Amino acid sequence: MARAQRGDDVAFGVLYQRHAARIFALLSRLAGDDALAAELLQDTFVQGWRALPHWRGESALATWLHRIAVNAHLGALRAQRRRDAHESCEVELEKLAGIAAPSSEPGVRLDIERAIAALPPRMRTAFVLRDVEGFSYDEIAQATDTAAGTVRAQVSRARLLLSREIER
Amino acid sequence: MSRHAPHTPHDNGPDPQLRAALDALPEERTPPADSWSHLQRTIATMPPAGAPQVRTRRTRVRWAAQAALAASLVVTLSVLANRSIRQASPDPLADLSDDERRDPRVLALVAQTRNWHAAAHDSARSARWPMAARAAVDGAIESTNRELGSARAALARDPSDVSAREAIDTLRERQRALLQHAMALLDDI
Repeated sequence: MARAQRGDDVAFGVLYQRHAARIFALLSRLAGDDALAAELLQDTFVQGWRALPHWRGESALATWLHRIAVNAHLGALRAQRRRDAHESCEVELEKLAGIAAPSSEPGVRLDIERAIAALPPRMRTAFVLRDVEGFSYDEIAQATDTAAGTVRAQVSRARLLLSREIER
Repeated sequence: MSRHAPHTPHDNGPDPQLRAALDALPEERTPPADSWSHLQRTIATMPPAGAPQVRTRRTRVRWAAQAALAASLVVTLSVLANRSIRQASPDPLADLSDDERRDPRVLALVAQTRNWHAAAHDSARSARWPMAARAAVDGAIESTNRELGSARAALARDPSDVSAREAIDTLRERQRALLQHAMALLDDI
């Protein structure tokens, strides 16, 4: 760790190997898109590299990187929101209905990852942060600049949609 | 890393089937194979924040490239901000409504604007900023302020004007991002 903090990229590579898979899983789930998740993974570790000398170990490195990754996703989400201020939730919901076909392998769990990925971006973010990552509604509301009531509604709607898909 | 939340009395959480599916999600996924090499190339061009600065030929080349980048960025943003000027207005930050004063996005912009002015008047900090870049940022602020004034006037005339409200949010965010990005670039020179 000390070597990585001094700018040793080999030591940083060891940290990357240790944490990248977990961060990539998180980002794939939040972004719903592997290509975007790969970009956000880069952003996360670039920011981590820049800030590492200032990391004082108050939290575990994994937690610290996790927070950077969530922020990177939220930044991308805000940028997307500006680009597409009139995102149609209904269109996205129709997409969900189309993708969540039952798994081709008998007895295998529903491809819940695909179903989550098909949720509209803001709904997916609220759902993943709440039900996968365990954020409180207030934390999500603050992080996404959304009213807490809206976040609750998004999470509730996402649960309903995903539960329906599981029952299909 | 996930920390499943305790459910409040008003939130029973996902139903058991969904909860089970979520609990079965893998905690790790392998990133694309070239991810580390790509990252390695990126970080090779930038020292970590705590590394001592040594002015080498490479650093000077980087300085020149960054100066050009900063200038072109702010000129581009200035042009973008100028594109839809409709009406002049002095300083939209000076006459904020009570609601706006409570809006964290507005407060973030106010704080960023104050940071910019403080940095621009700090000669030790801004001594190496290219004049053209500084002028372009100031020009972009002025232009965005005029555009903001126009949108705010439209909203005052018709409080239900959703497009004016969205324009205000977008312009403020654009201005905040411009200031933040410009300062990061200029400070790095």
